[in-house]
Amino acid sequence: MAPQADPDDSLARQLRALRDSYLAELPDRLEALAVAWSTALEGERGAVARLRQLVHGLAGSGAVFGCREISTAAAAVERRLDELLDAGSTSAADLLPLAPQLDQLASIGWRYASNRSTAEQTSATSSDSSRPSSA
Amino acid sequence: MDTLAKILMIEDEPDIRAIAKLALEAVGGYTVELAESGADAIAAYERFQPDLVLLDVMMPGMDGIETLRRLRSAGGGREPAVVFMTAKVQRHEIEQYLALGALDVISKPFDPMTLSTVVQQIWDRRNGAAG
Repeated sequence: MAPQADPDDSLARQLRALRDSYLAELPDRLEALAVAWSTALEGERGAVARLRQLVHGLAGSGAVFGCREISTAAAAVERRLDELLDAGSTSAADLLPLAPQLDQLASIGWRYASNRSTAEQTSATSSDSSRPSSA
Repeated sequence: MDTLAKILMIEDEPDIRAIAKLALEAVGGYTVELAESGADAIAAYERFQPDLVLLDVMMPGMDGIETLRRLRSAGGGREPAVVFMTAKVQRHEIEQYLALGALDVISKPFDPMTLSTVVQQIWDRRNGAAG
């Protein structure tokens, strides 16, 4: 008789897969954040709102996928952006003080993304010898 | 007591939609339908007729508050059972959501492993209050 699949294992596996997918897409999000930041500084219409939307997404999703530092850093940037947007203060001079917080957010994000890559490479090189046979 | 079986989740972030659906279905055993915007949610609400709606507050285009207003119209007089999901959970913000008719507010980011329990507790409390 075939062994029964453990539903908890299945859920954990699916959650891991979603987290992997999130981390795999993180570099694209960080690149988009950098572009939105540059265009916001150039005064492009709608760029600050776009920046805010990207930061909001990172704040909401980071901790759900076990990346609490991303959520914390993004939430801090989001709060400040909200204040600036509410005040109608979105010139480059108004935005520039946010640069260190955005740098920190990007650094944290890239760290998570690169750790995932490292873990994936380690897993790939060891999986053939360590994976139990299912045959 | 009404049973909570069908949940419509309205959320613009694809990652959050995916993990919430997985958590609610696998842990809670609910049937979950997803909508990625307020505009999509109206059609989904009419078609799916959910028991409960989980509604993101901050979405581009139609935000959660406007979406709730539209859901009321779409429901043909049936008051939608809505729980807002948001990171903005200061006291005055929560009071605002409740005043709009929300059953409760779930703070984001949420824990996927306990989301079903939290949702069920809100549902049970609502039924207790109504019963």
